[in-house]
Amino acid sequence: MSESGDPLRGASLSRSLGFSEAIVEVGMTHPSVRRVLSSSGGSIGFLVSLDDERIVDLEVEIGLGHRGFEKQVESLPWHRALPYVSRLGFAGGLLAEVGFCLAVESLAAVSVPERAIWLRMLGCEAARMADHFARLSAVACAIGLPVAESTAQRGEVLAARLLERITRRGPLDGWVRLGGVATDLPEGFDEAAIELCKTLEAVLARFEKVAVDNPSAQWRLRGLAPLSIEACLAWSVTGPTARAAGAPMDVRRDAPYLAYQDVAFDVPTGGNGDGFDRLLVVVEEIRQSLRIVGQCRERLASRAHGAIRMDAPGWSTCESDDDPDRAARWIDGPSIPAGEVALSIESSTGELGFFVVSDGEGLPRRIHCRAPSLLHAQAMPSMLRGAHLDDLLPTAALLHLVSGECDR
Amino acid sequence: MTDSRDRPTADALADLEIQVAPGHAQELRIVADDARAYEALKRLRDDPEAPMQRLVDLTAVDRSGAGEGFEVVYRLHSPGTNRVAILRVPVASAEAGVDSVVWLWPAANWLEREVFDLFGIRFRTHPDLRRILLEPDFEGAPLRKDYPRQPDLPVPPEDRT
Repeated sequence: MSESGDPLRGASLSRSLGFSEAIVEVGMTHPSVRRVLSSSGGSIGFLVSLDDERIVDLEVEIGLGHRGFEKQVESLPWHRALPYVSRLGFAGGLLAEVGFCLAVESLAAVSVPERAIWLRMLGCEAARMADHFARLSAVACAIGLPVAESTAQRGEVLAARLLERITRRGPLDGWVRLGGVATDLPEGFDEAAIELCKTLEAVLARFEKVAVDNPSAQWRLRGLAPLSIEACLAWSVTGPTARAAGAPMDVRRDAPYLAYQDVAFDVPTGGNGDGFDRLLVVVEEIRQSLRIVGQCRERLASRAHGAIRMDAPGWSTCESDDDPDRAARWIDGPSIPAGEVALSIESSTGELGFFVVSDGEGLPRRIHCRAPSLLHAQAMPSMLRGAHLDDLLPTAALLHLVSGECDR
Repeated sequence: MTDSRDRPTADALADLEIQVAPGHAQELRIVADDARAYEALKRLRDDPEAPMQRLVDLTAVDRSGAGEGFEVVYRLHSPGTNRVAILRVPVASAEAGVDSVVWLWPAANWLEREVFDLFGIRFRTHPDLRRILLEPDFEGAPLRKDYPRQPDLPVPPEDRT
């Protein structure tokens, strides 16, 4: 636990014992190894300067997972960027796809059909739940609560199953398209979704029982790596971490996109900005996502009928071969007029933004992703200086640094 | 189109002789030259009406080919009023660069390093300007338009199936 005041006050413990201060490397692990650091697909490493077991300084090492995302997508027609975009996220790649599509559609000044908007929102909340549960399981693993860990993993699997029901395909399979979505809900979706949401609620309640109400979790997480509102603003920290500090920032409410202005949900906030508040905020956000899922489901069943994709050359799927001109436009994708748009969505990790610039001809001039994980990783040293080495992993797990997004 | 709520922020920049235009709702679009950009950003941050306490994003655009050069783009947000400002600074030369805003928003540190890394644009007075995503001995600035996208690497014969 970190203490207030100057952590380096007084003599260095190591030196007084006759040792020199040590530098320890923590991570990186391979993204596919699912343990604490990498539960978010994370090839992020740390160089920790230690005085005994106290963190004197911390250097966050990023970039190992850099794939030249922005260079790649700037070399392709607009619609072919999507498979790269979905790999920005971990369990919540769909959120990034929606953000990218909204930016490009806004640049082209087109609007997608109402049903597609509600379907996307449904997908977003299912993806958010899956990613939030992944974060919870990493936290539980980091503080040594195996029952809570497996409970959260169960939640992640169930949320992923809900997403699979919605999209009728596995993850990273390109359900979100420019101009709408690829497929509508399957037969019997309502019953299956109601059932899954009920189970998800039960799993969440169980997680609260075995983790939130658990004295050892409270002991580990209270006072862990605190960050004030002012620090959150200065470091541009967003998402659950900023909300836990008491900043009521949620893009879904502050600058509503899709149809978030038409659904009821609360934005939970904390007061201490410590690890325990972050845990509480994430748990509550899953509950709010379940609320939104219910509202989307009702709306899709009762009112929002009709097309799921824009019907315009370049934007809609070409189903048949009998119109070669239309097929050619489908291959080239939509033409995007000159201009630029910067917009953000509330991803599971925080404020995920896209800045897109078009010349009005062919390839994009610029596609830039504002990655919350990059800014959160940057703020870590200010949270952890003076803390105990043991605090590093739970803090990293709670921040849910996704290297696909951070390194791009 | 001009929203009266945008005026105080625009007023704060009045004597700087820079171009301010209202964008979408609650959004200001500003173009400033290198000499005035730092002062304009500082005033936006300290504006009593809508302090832009948060640097949302910082990146660059390579407009070469369109008859222009690089541009550094700042995206600011005022959490109290939800107002947004986008400020663009045309960069005369990448080597000369622009002033670092780390001193206004610490969040700019890594964002400026990323632009330096991928565009080769220098940020004057940055305390730690070095590559961040690419390895230290990488040559070139890959997000520049004159940097070719690497061709797909040939698959070695033994890996072909």
